[in-house]
Amino acid sequence: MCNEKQVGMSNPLNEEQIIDMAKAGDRNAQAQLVLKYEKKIYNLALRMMRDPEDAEDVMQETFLTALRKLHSFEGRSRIFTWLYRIAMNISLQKLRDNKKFDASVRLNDPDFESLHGRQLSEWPAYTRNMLSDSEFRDLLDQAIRALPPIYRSVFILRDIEGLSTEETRKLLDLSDSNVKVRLMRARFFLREKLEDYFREHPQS
Amino acid sequence: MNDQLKNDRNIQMKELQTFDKFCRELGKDMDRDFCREIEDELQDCPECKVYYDTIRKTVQIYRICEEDEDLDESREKRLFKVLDLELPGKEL
Repeated sequence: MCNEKQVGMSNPLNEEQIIDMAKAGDRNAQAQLVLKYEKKIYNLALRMMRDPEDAEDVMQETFLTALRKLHSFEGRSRIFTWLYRIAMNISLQKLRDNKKFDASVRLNDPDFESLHGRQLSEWPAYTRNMLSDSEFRDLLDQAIRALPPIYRSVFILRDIEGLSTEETRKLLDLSDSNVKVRLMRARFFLREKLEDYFREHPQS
Repeated sequence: MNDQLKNDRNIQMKELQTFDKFCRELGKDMDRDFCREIEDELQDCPECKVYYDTIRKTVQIYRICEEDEDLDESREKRLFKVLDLELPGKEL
């Protein structure tokens, strides 16, 4: 058992050492790991679930699962991607269970041919006022809620969390091309939702 | 090289630079074939350029608006209680 002084105080241990101690059952080391990643996991869950209470549930289940399975973590990936994988699986399962979305919805590829015939207008540069406007924020939220979870997960990991295609692929057990196709479809879906707003608010 | 040709090449170069920047911003590892497809579309499709610019803005807007929220103290306390762990100091 290590004491508080050993874990991260005057002579901080590196993360690998803390993980080893946590795997060996050291409660203080486990607490330090949770403390380090709780905010990241909560925010990932919030982006997926779109509800603070649901996000809290996901965060709790993620760390319960992680501490239970920590002995199986072999260090082949970074600890945070391992935690993300657990959190993402729990989020997707909860979204499937509560049936707040139509699981059969599949998004289409963008149709480049049809673009030639469409009247597309350029969007104005976004401003701080626009981004803090509650109506606009609601629209962003509604658009991402309408995005089926299999697309939402890829969009969040790649475009919001900044993970690479490779990391996203491994985390979601997808092929490279699946990640890219889902990301492209998600981006186009969200773009269409925002297009409606900018058409109605051309002076934004 | 005549002026018209120079002008055309300048326009092409600018489009390619825009396109390159677009690809970099949307994903460092976006594969080259996919980028070339976009490049082909942009050459003779002004609507596509608008379309891609708005895609880029969509991603940027979400990146800004989906900022991290703080985990409030009550949620943190409940988490540590559920895990049966003692909440340490935050010096890690």
